Amino acid sequence: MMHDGSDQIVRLLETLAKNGALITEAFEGTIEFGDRHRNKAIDALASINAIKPYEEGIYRLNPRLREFIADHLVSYQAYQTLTRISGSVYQAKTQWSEIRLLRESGALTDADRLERAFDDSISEIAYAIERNLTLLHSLISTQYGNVSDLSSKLRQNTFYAKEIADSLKEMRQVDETFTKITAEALADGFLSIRQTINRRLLVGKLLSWTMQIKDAQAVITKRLFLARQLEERLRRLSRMSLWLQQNKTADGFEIEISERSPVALFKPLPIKVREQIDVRDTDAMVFEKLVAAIKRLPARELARASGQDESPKPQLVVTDSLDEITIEIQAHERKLDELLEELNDTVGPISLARWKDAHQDLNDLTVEEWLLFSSTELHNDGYVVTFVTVEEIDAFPVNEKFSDVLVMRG
Amino acid sequence: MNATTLLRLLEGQYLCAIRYKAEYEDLLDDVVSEEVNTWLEKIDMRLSRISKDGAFFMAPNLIRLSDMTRVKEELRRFRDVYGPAVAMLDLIRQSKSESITLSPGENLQLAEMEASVIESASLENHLRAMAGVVKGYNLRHSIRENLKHLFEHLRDDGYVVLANAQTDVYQITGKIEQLYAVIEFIAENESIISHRVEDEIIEPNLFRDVHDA
Repeated sequence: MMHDGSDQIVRLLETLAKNGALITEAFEGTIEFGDRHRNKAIDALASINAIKPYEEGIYRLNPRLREFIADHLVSYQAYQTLTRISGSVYQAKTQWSEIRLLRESGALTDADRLERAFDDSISEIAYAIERNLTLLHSLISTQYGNVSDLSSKLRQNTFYAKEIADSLKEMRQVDETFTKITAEALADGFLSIRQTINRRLLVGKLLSWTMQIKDAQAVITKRLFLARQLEERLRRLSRMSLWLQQNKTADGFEIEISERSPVALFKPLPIKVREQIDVRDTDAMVFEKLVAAIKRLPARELARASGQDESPKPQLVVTDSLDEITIEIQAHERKLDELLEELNDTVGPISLARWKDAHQDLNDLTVEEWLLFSSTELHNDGYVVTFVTVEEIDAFPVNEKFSDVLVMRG
Repeated sequence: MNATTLLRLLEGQYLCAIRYKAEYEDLLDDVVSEEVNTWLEKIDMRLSRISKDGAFFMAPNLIRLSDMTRVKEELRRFRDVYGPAVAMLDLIRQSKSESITLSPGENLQLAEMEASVIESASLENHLRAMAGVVKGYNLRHSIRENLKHLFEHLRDDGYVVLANAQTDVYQITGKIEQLYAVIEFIAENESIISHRVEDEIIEPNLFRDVHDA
């Protein structure tokens, strides 16, 4: 019996392998009848239900086969739903109840057969969860690469956010159901069942799967948040545009800016950078550039070429005006001139102190000032100047004191 | 380090993956960004980004009074400084309102926008009202020519680049996020353009199902 079954599987796979090109074509779309050889191949595939009739003369790939290939290629269609596992969980739960009943009633052969089916149900759940994770990771890592339009990507993101939420609910259902079954299996002494559940589902795996789904959920939630941000900023842009249209007399906004204002507000001001040649650089390339730069400079104007005399001319300081300095003659200077005239007419000496007393217009000066001024001036002019000293007893004479000055022609 | 990275920053450019790809990728390297930052600090500047993943730009190391006065003045003269970009980008948004996001990297096709404006009298009026805003706009020119002026104006201002000259496809650069940041700041400080009830999206809460799980 087992041997015949194996033959059937081998023949089935041989038919698939022989018509691989047609299956590939059907995976991408539909297939139609063509030449005799092609028609024969289509018939062969249709006979094993690998392709199903779609319309008259048109076939499509069996959805289960498509799913199998898509899983293998990690190639998913847009809005591919996650595989629901609640059906399998319900099935396993029912099988477990039946196993217990069969054991109690002593129908051990039936119980053994059902145990194998129960094992398959557990495998199916594990497979479905892993497939869901592969699908999610594929879509997230390619940023929903099965569609190119950004809005469609965002809509798919919303779709998968809901799918993940459902998936997490199912994971909790798996946890609760199989934790209960393992407890009952332990109580009833079905250790092999307990072991199967623990090994394939509960210990480590369920936690790891839940974590992975939550990771995917975090990524999707973040993207949903970003999508909302995108919508929000477009709304603000449109409101701002409307405000500008409706408030034509307003130029802008009076808002205080501080150090804590967002840095993005501070637009960078360009800093001008200009290349300069280092004239001291001896590098050949730099030197060539320097020579080229010099060549670009405007030619020096030669004075000789214009026939002008190049010899240096005498320098002359030209001033706009010469300020006339007027010397103001003071009253006592005028009086000195008067004294000089008097001296020239007089033979004997003239006392300067008495002369001052006789002239009231010298009252502005003290005797001391007048004597110092007039005696110095007259001495310089060549008159004989005699100081009338004061007889005073001084143990340590520093200055020779005088009370009057006598002047006479030399 | 890329030879032009520092020069572009000093020029006051926003280095994003669209307009200055090589320089942007250069700065993604921690060693290079550290090196650039050290260099900029010597001239009292620093390397900054518009957002966490946004374009790089040169910002003042310490915000001085002159910087604050400048920004305050820019906001006071918002219509002249940012107004043209706001009006032009909003027209693009309206011409493709169903699917547009106006995010860095998004492609904008001139022909597609032209078709939208031809189909809608309201958009055509809106475009005509841009006469005083768009550089080179001429009422005698065709819609396509004037739209071309609009895109070229945005290109001069650094908000888009010409991605394909044959098909007139433009691509939005990372600089647009700076404009969004300014508008967001104003929205937070001015009630005029802050959130309004009628702007709420009528759709189920996207987070509820996820968080309930």
